[in-house]
Amino acid sequence: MAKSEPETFFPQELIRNFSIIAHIDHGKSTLADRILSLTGALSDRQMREQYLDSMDIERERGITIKSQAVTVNWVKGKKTYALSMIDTPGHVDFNYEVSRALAACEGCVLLVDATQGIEAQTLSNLYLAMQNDLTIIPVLNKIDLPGAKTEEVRSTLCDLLGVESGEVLEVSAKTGFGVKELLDAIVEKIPAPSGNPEGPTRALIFDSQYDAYRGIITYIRVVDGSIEARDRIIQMKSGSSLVPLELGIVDPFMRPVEMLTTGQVGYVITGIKDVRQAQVGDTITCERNEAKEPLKGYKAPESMVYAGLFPLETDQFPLLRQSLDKLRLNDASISYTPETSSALGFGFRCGFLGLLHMQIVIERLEREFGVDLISTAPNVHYRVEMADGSEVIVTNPTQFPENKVKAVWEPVIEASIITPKDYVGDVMKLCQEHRGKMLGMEYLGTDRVCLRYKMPTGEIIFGFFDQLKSRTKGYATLDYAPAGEEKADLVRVDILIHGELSDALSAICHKDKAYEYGLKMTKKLKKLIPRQQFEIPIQAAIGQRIIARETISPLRKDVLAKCYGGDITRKRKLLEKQREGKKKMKMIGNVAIPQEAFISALSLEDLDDKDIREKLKAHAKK
Amino acid sequence: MNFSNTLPPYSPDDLGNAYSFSDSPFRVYVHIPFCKKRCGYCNFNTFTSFSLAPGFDKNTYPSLLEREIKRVKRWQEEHAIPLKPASSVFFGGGTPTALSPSQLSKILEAIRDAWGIEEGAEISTEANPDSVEGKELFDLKKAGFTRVSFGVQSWEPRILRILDRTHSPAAAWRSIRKARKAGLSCSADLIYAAPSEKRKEWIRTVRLTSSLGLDHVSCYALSIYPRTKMGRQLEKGLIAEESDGAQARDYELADSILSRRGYKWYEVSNWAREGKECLHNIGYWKNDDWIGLGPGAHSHFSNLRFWDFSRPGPWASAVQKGDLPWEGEVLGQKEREEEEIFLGLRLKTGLDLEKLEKESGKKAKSDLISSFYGLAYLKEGALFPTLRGRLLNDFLARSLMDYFLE
Repeated sequence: MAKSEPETFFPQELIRNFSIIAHIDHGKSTLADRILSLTGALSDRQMREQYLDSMDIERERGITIKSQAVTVNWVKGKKTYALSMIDTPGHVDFNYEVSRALAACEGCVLLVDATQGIEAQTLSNLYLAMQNDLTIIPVLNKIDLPGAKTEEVRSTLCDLLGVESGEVLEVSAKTGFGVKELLDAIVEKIPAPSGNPEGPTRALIFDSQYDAYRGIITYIRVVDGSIEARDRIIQMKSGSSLVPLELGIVDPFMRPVEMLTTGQVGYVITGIKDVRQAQVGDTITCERNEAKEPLKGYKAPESMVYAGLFPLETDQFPLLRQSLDKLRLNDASISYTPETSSALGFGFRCGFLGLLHMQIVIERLEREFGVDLISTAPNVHYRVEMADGSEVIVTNPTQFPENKVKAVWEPVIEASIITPKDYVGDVMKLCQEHRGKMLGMEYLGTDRVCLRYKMPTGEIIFGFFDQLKSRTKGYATLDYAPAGEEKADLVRVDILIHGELSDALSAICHKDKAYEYGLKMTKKLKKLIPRQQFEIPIQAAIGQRIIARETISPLRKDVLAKCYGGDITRKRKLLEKQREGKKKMKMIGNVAIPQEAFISALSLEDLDDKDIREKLKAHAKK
Repeated sequence: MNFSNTLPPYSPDDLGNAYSFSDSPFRVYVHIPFCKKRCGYCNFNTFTSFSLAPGFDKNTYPSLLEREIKRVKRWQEEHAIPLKPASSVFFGGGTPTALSPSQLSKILEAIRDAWGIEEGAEISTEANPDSVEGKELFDLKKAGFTRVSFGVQSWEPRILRILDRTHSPAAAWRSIRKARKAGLSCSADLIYAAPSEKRKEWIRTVRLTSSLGLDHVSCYALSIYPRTKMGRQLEKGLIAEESDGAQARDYELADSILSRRGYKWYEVSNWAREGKECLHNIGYWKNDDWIGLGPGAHSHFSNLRFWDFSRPGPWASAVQKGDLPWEGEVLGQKEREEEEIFLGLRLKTGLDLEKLEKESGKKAKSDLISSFYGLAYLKEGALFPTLRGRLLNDFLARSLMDYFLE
């Protein structure tokens, strides 16, 4: 390895902190990799493709979930600068983490794929950056690809940002073309951090991670003053005070340093194991130079989607709790409270930023922590006004009151959808199907349109994005932001199996969709539940009223015809195996239901057949 | 003996050492692995070639069995397993009547020489309706056979063709008449729920069977196994299996016709006139001891179950070398109780619940019995299956195991 020891101490004027904002697949990770290799932070041998996306799931899905902060050295003129690159996620579910990352920067690189143009996601992150008063460097990527519409995208960017066309840089992250110029531009255009080096020490915790060997690793940006390795540090909000085990920077390896000064980005390891003591958004100060006023923290993230998570094996409940505690440490946006389900046992009702976030959390729990999970269908939260003036917040369908309801309020979002103009009709139709109200429509250039809609959040979390993609051949992009709540006509649909309520299958639906839910769920269950010794009615009900019903006919014969001398051993083993299988099933009253049936019933996969279409048609006529 | 470092299946010596004494009756089963033709549904250990391995054919088979008999007896002596005269002998297959009456009689003599056969013991053989002549039946009777069980399956030519059977209804009818004339107690096996069989076809088959003066009738639902001719037809979609509803209906029809004609059910698939039950088979369900002889035959001695090698080559060479051609398992308390439950529940005499309670140390609570409502009832400490309980017998067995053996 031909790499010399890098500088670790930098005066404020030689520090630049920036983020890269880009849509999924626009090449952010490739650019980050290129920067690491060009600055010599990673030798070729160490170079792993997409180094910054270290989690397996991120690599597989090709998206970045967790922001990380890497500091590299870059020489311009006669001076060596420290560039800290703070990675940001690119999916709408993770806006919250983007804003966290941006708060630790003075500038950002707006990376746009020249073959694709600006997407809804890029716009919303760009607005976030503008709100934070960041310097924005517009960059076109993939300019070497045959499909690049460089000039067209450049002029859209100029209109959007009000810059001259010469200010838009061109790179090819893949070949490295233009990356040197980009690094120079970062040094020139992005201001040095502005904090007061003589003031009381204040550092912002913008991320933290749990490491199985080292405990909690807290990522900080020093805003004022400095922190030394021997300083006793104080977390202002939690009030805990400790001597750090290690202070350092990521280059991209963890490198211990003696001191972090004003403007620097680095990490602190304190040895604490309790996740609640390292809250992202908290301010760190030190005893030697204690601050009175904390920095302005972050707004706590709001959960948009809720679902129950239950371990498949009941004895994994403690493991699930521990795993959630650890996950929460580097994903402050997960919330969870214990919950009991008659069908699924002990688990947690968890809040997520969105559906993708939920899927990722489930995958991480399963892969990184080895918990096998079953999750209920996701739902949003509702505010129910009761006749007596009291109020109930419902995050779980079973809490939805049946009687004396005065009004139900559901959360809504404002969505921006950017689509080629040929699909405008299809998109409008889709939005209407999902109870959307149009707010406006504008052209971006000549052939792309941005549609804005107000829609119930609950409508957008169930497969809306997939439907949008399929109706626009994959061209449309979607972004949304919470926009308060609205009154809605909602009911709870319960599913009864052999007369027993299966709480895990209850759902809150719009009145017009209740029948469809009931019909499809009862049909699904009829297919999934094995026949038993008695007839099993499966009913969907709103309160006491049955709205759909299917019946599983009883099993009439369950006996081996022949059981002579040569059959006895085999038969004993067969019965043992059948009993083992049944033990793994969940009991709803007397009915044994395989786990897989619940998993399939709760999957978002849609059921569609002729009978369903006819019944829905007849129902609509009524 | 210490089993901690050996795993099942166990060798004959390990088995012998693990034997724990019991005073059950002793029975003998002889497997005859020859058939002229394999039927479409057959998954038994039988072969259509008459020469199965070097030194193993129809002619040498009786002397191979004689060697096995002697070797078994020596094994019993070596391990102090009591020698008792046989309470019953049963020849099954395959097609036992593929051998001549004199060959069968030679085997019977070897059994008599080794263990003795009780006075008046039931000695049965299975027979294919078209493989026995009138004279042969008289010879069998003379050799000591008391009972013959015919594989009639159906009286409908269409169904016999679907089942891929070689005999005609007329041949079966003639065979049964001659067997009765020879003074043999007769039984017929029937198969229900054959693909596409109509309700009235099955009713005709049961009615005709019940009018022939037989002592005993067995009815089996057709089971189609993967690697059989019918299994392949099923896979290709040429035939379809009947639903459990249709099977249950056929079973109920058979039960009602047979009981009106004086046949009482005594085991899930067996009906007989009073006192004409097959004692040998009852021995299987009551956990008697028995030795199985011939390739693939199973044996049971108290806490041991073992089985002869089913491939003719290894079986014959072991027997020729003077080795025991077996491997097997040793039953623990749990396995024995499991067997007691699912075997006892199949019988009209019911499951001895009091004994089970004593063994397991658990009392059958009233909620357990009431959960079997319509499937079984309790009388004088025993649990009896109803008609529905016979059809859902395996469900009953699993529920009782869950209750008593957890």
